[in-house]
Amino acid sequence: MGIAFVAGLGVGAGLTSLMRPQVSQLTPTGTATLETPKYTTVSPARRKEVFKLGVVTFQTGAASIFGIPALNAAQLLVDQINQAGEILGAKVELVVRDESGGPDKMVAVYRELTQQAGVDAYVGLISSADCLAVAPVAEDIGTTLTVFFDCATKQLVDRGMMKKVTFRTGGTTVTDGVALARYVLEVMPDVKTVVGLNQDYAYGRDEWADFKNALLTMKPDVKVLDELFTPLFATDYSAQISKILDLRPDLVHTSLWGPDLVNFIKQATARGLFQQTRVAFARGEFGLYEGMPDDQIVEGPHYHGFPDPKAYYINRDFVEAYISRFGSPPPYPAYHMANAILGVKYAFEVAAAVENVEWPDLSAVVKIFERLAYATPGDYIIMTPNHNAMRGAVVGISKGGKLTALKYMHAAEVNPPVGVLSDQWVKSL
Amino acid sequence: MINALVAFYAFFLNLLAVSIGMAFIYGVARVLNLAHGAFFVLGGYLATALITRLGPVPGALATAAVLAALPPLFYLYVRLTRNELEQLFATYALLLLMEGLFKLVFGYGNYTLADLAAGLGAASVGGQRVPYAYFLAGVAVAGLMATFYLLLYKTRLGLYMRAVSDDREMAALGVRSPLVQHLSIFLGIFATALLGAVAATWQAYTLGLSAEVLIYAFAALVIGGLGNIWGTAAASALVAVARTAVVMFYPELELLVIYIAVIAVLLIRPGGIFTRYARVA
Amino acid sequence: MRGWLSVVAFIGVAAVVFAAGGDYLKFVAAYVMMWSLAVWGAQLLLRYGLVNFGIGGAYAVGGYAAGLLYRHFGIAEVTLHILTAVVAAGLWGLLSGVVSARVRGVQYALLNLALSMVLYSILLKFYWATGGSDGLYVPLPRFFDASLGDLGLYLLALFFATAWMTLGLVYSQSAAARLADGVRINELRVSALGAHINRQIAAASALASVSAGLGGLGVAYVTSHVSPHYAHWSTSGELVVAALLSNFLPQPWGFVAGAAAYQAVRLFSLQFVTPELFVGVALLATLGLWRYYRR
Repeated sequence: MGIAFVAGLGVGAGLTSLMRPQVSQLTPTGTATLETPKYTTVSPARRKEVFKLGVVTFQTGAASIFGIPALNAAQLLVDQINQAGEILGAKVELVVRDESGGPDKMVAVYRELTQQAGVDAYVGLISSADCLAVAPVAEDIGTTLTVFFDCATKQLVDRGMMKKVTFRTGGTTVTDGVALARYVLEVMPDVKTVVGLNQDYAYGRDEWADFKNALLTMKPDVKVLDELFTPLFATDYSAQISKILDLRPDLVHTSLWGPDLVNFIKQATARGLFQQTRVAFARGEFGLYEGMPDDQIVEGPHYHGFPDPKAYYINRDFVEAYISRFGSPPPYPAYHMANAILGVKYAFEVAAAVENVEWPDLSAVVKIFERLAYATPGDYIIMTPNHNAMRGAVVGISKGGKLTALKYMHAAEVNPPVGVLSDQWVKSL
Repeated sequence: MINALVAFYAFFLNLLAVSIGMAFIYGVARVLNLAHGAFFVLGGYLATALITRLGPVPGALATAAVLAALPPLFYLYVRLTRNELEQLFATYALLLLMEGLFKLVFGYGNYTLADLAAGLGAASVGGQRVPYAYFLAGVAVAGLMATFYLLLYKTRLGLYMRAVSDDREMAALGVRSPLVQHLSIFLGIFATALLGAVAATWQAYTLGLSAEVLIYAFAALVIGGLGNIWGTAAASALVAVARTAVVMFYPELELLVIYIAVIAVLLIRPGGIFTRYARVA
Repeated sequence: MRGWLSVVAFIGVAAVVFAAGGDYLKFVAAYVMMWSLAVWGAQLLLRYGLVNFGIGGAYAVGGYAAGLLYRHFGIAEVTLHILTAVVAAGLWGLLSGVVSARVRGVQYALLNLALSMVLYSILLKFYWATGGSDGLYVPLPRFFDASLGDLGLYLLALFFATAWMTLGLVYSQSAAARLADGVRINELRVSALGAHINRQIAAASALASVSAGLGGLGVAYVTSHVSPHYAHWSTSGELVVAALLSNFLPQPWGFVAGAAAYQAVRLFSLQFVTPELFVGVALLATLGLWRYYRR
């Protein structure tokens, strides 16, 4: 009986998949290398009724603190887009999946969204490991526009992993590190000693390495007293705080996030760390809302106060809409999501206009996206031929749970030029 | 030096809080509760939610009331399983269920009472700032340990619990072992959730932490030996010393330190450091 | 359906799935078939009454065999990958088996968990050699000079699953299986009858680790990526849960069905606001169903 059940499952699943419309396969012509992709379209461009947008981000687990605001922004934007004319007349429909389970589940989810659910574009992924796992698969399948909206690994660019259909509309750990280093040297030109406190995994190590290299290149006489790496989700930072209190550095660099950031801030405040040392928080916006003391340096890819909503109406509208719907100002993952979704929308629209068709095929969209520059709530995004965005960063000083003395580091100040390896460029600052 | 001591103290308290309940649940009742961390986290969530809404005293009382209702529910749930493997399966499912419920009920934010605790001020010990909340937490945990000591070593029930924890079948010759085990499940769950509430004064709770807590609890229990809560306390102290020393002198090892401790103890003295009769099953 | 007939029927089902299924279904089938090898390993140890929360260590060893060989030596040859995975995972299993055979119960589970987490930490820390938490890219393997392709990978998965079904059949008729049942039921009596239990456990651990290693290798092939997450205790936990699920089903095909059921539930759950709630309820429902059938 059991074997019949399993056989029935297999046959049933096979038959139902036959009934689903096959996603049109784009076969690449030309050589097998990834250098010059040429596509032949199989189906003629036709107006579509529905634009399926797949969104994959953390809805559970500790990283949901990033994922849920991003999802909120996605829902907000999709509603706005649908009210304001849709994408080429197609109603945008969100298909959401949770980013939990590890990189191999994310590969499965990517395939499910592109091959089974037939999404027209895929926006996703906060974790760098997930991005690095999905990128080769996306390039291999090659049928769907894939946009990474938040992951910060520089490997995607340095290894040239995004050549065909994969894009990232955000900055890397280099962006964060160089922006923070530049700002630190502006507000603390006499900084002499620094200690790093970061989580022990690729993101923490990359953030620290990029900050340290940038700082040491620009001011070689700075001494690194110690580099502390803590396990992810370690709830107790008392040992690290003790060590920092003993070492007495001028500056502490940290890229802690989520419960680790909260625990560190609370425990450090209780022990009086902030009276003794200044802390530079990479991507530290969430610390502002969890009781970060005044006068700390905070860097973020975005901040709701920049560009000033009073002067820049796109940000004003976004912030007001987000607050009225979700109750608090949008944090930077929301801006990241906005960058990605608006990029997808504009890429399709511009490609359709340029090709003068009702619905552009993927090769046209890719060609346009590579050189697209567009305005977003968080200023503007410039896409480059290496499929990564040239993005700046916002740095400021914390005061009363807000960021003041905002300075925007322009993209060219904090990102390597196209074709130059990140580490090489940092050493040449 | 003071700083190192404070660091040791804080981590010791942390480990003790998560593992004491486990000593009763697994040590006496031999229930493999994979959802142990979820109860700890639930205590913290409830305490934060109720105290911030109702104020310190009514909130604390409300928390205690809700927590007292938990053990019977868990007990009934565990009674449905018939052997250790089913327990494993069922408590794993319970862990997932509770994590899902946390998302639905508490949302995705960070819950902590650390601000409230910081409001109590700090003392200056040897030139370093040590918050009063740390002392208070130490007093609370010490009080709980004292209660357990009195229970285990000065009462009949405690005697039975120690006997059952030592050798269940032999104890059944005179003791109603199943009843004693059921009572220790009650005690263990309540203690865990309560300690989770106390721990909210120094740590933040969010989705996904239940599983991390579980590993530390089991590690402290196994290193100390399944027989007694002093073993667990001593093991917590040992691991806290090891971890503080590692951070001070060779921080790269911090990720590994608890696992190396577990491996070392299980290789050298599989029954745990503080058991008299090593029973490894 | 018992025995050899079920193996043949399974091959038939897999063929139908490949012929009639869409790309995603073929991917999931290959993924499940590869993953089921690791489930088989976990189930083997469960037969001894040993719950191994460190089987992810062997699982990671297999995946990293391919990843490291490719990253440092450019080797994409499937036979070399398999050989390395078998030898490395076997050694890992033997060593961890010898070390952990002296304890049982929760100490055994925790010791293996600690060993796999040490491996996890090593993979994470030596990021210049192992790629760290970012993981390593695993290319589509080559068989001598030909790239395996979709069909080749599916055939490899099918071959593994079928081979392990056969292995399971042979094993269940063997003396070792009797011994395993004996160890689970009453260890003292079995050792009094003259069996060397610790040796048996070490050997079983080696076999289970080889299975898990090949499972990890296969999953790395199918998803083109390997990361330290393979060695994390949560991965071992999933394998143990799937093995427990498989215990509800008859052998020799139970481990594949258990693996398929677990993965189906897990992948399906990702569309909900709280995937964990869905998986938890599904697991409880399974337990309830099984209790009802066995009552």
